[in-house]
Amino acid sequence: MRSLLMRSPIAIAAAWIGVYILIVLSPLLILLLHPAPAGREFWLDFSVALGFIGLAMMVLQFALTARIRTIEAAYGIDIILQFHRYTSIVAFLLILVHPIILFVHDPETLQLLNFLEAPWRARAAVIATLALTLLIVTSIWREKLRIPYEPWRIWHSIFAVTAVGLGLAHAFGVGNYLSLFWQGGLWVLFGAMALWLLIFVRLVKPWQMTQHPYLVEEVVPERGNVWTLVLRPRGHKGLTFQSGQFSWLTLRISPFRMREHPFSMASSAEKLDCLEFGIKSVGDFTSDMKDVEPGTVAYLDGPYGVFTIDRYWDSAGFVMIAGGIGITPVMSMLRTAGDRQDDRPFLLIYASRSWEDITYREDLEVLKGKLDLTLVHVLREAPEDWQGETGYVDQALLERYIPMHRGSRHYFICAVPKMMDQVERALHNLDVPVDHVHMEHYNLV
Amino acid sequence: MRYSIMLQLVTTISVIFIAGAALFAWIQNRQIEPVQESSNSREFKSRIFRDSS
Repeated sequence: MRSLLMRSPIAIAAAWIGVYILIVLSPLLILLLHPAPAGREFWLDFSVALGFIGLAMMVLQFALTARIRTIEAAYGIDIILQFHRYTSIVAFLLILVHPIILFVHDPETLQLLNFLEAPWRARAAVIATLALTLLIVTSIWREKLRIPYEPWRIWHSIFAVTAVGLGLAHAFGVGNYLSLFWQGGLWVLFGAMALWLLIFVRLVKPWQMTQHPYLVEEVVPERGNVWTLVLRPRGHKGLTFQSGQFSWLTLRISPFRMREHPFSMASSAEKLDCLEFGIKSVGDFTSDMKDVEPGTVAYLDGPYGVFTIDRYWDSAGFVMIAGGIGITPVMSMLRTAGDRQDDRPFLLIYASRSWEDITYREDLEVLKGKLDLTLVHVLREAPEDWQGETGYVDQALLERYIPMHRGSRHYFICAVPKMMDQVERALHNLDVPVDHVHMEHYNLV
Repeated sequence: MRYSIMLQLVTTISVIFIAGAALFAWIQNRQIEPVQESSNSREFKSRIFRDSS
């Protein structure tokens, strides 16, 4: 059993889900140990239970977003962030339903919404719910509301701390069940955990980053409006990572300002003294990349991610499907395999806009000499004399290239979300085992 | 597909939570009938106390 839990990613992932459910339900389980108080009603207790569950889920959001490596290693950070998004919405709905049940069951409680005359514990609940509403709205519709990433992230934290802090204050103020020793103790523990995670993310982790600075060595232009940012560790050995992983990069400013961005390493995991990041010029932060001067100080929080061939050492070979800047983690895996003289077959299906836009085109040709690498370029705008593949990476194209024994390979997809979904569906239709398909969404926020 | 699987997972977890909340409220408010002592149980108790004394 121990061996199964240590080795099977599915068993580990299922165990974490069990832990999550147990923690969220723990306030109710503890209450069942006490004798039930007299004079309560079903709907009152149902409403209180939903409130407890919603608040416990909100507290756990701090753990989900704290980039805890043991949790992240079970799923990958993009999956955890998606889980964070979905469960936040569920927690929000439960917290909304919690007072609505009370209002319907006992309309006199509507007076608690009178902000001027209501007791402080009710005001705390109103402000917490408003903060939670703003948090959800600005997160779901951030792009439509045109909120830039950096200010959004600051406000996201402020709304989250307000919602959880005042939610806990409301729970203790109302004192429903919290006067019981173990129940009160549990919620103090929840509050302390959220506070510690906040201190860890905001103070401890940035301080750790300041102890391991990097200097920009050069910024190299690549094809496809991509820049390679080359970093050298200053006063330390550098980052040990698995090929294909990514780090959060802070450039020019102190890591305490929390203005960091996730980028995949493009360099070999065998070269710790020189890290390379492939960065496409698309947003506020990335469009300034060409102006970064050598000698600029940078900080890294990482490595993160499970999008790596290093976890599948017994695979007979690999199929990699990349689109545009999604080539970056794939380059890291191929370069690392080249440095390790990996003799397994690699197939790379690489979609680009045009022949001139193929990022790392020349580097890939060099890798063909070091690896058993089959390279298939797919161009959307092909030149007239182009003999290769054109259009999109669809099921028919994949069927022409992937091996007949589908399960003999592991498949890595990194591209824009639409392409990833299409390729994933096509691989599924071609009977590729689900647990052999690995993806990384690089638009994390 | 991964996100679809996760959506199903979060839906399942949500159902577990709501069912858990309802079960909790039911347990806290269920009517427990006071246990009537039968003549058999009285006799049984009296035997225990008599044997132990």
